[in-house]
Amino acid sequence: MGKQRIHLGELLFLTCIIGSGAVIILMMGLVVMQLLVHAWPAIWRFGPAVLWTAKWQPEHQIFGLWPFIFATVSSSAIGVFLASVIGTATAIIISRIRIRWLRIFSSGLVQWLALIPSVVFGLWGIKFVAPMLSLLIGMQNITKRSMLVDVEGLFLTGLTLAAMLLPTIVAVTRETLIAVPQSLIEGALALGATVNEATIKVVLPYARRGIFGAVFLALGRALGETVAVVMVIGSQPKLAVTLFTKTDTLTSLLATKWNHMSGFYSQSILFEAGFLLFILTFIFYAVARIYVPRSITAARLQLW
Amino acid sequence: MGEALAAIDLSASFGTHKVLHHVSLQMPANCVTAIIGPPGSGKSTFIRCLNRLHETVPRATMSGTVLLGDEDVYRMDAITARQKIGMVFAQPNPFPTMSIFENVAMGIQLRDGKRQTYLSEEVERALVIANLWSEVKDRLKESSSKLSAGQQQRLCIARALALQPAVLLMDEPASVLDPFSTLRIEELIDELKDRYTIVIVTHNLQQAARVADRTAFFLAGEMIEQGTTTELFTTPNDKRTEDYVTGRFG
Repeated sequence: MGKQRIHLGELLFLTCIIGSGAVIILMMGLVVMQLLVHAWPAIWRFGPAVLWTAKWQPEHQIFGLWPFIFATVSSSAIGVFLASVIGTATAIIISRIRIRWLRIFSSGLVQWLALIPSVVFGLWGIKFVAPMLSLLIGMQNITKRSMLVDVEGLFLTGLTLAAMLLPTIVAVTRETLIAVPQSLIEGALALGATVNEATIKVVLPYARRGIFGAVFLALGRALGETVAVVMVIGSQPKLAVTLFTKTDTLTSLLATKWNHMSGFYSQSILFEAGFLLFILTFIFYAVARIYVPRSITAARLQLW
Repeated sequence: MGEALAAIDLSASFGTHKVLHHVSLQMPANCVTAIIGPPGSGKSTFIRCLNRLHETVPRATMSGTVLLGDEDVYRMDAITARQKIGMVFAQPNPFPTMSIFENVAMGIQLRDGKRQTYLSEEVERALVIANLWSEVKDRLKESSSKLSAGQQQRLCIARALALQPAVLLMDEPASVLDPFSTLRIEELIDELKDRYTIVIVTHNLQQAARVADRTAFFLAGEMIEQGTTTELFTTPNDKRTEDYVTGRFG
């Protein structure tokens, strides 16, 4: 039996990697713990009722988070829905480009678009989409005095989110589509299918898991998006009764109210909102992990 | 019934790379014609020109004429051509998201529309001809990916036959199968030639000798020699054919 030798370098390396791993896990634990510790007074005092209370009156110690949960989920849903429909169609056409340089250029362009900071999309939403939308609605409501109406709210937020998510969905879906074996497409063509029929009957069903995963990745991003949302949501702490009511999402609430709220429970309820957001994104991320094939998760696209 | 297929002065390339040079070949009706030759000799490209699949590849071009009976395949609609000239690929490629039934029904549904009263009848007929019916009749709704490789390949044959084509092209249909499954495919080819014209590409000389009535030898994109299988294997005219069939190269 030879004596097992442990080199000093090896030991050092091992310590480094185990240490780094431990730090990550510790950090995650600390974040969750800190959220919970600060949110606990509010959770204890107001109970689960905050989840369905629609009133938000910090001055009277009434804290209902329902308007923000609703706005978060519905604006994300609008954004993800629009982006999924347009994004899947775009991915199909991009995956079909036959000219080599155009194919490389367009897929590169899409991946680069996905990296544009969300604040830019916020600017675009408020400076371009909002006036257009306002003009469009204003023209239909001739009875109103002004042609320009306020459009900040769920719909504008949804549109802005859609623009922001579109590249993500196109990029991930394109990866899924080009991973569909050529032999399956040729099999369909050989049976007398047109390219479109092959796409609908064979390619999309084969890629459905990946597309579904792309949608959930986008949903995760939409739920957590803050800056762009703050710019277009209107920032009013009330329940959105129409698509054009100024409201707040959980993220925009946290970002805008942070400095303006004092009092023990006011601070605590914001942590509770943060904790809810944490749970919400975790749920959707978990679903995405189950559905997106390993090879094309966001890590490869460097989106998260 | 099968119809005769003829290639006249067929050339094909991918971009500037020529892979097939002026090939002419008669493939008589209700005969099995084997195309043999070493890898890269243009065998697959040749049969992919016959059902107009070659043109679906980016930058692929071809020239020449393909006749089915007395009709010019390149003057008909490409979809019609592919319905009349079925194809089976080297790698079994049933559609994994579809059931066994849906795989066989796909061609008919694409051609005649979604709901046809004769659909299940036609699916059964195709599966019977492909010698797969007894193995799958109780599990038609199961996913096609649950079948063994050999069964999958017979499913692909049934899928092609469901359209009642005149010609069946087979591109190395047994190259990934075990010897037993290969034998079953070869027996099937023997049964099918009464009804269909069959063109089979193979790199397996014994297989060509076992199943084919006629054989053509391809080398570097050219057709070197063709004739009855017995002639080509026993008394080849060309030195290169002789070298190949006697195993001196390839």
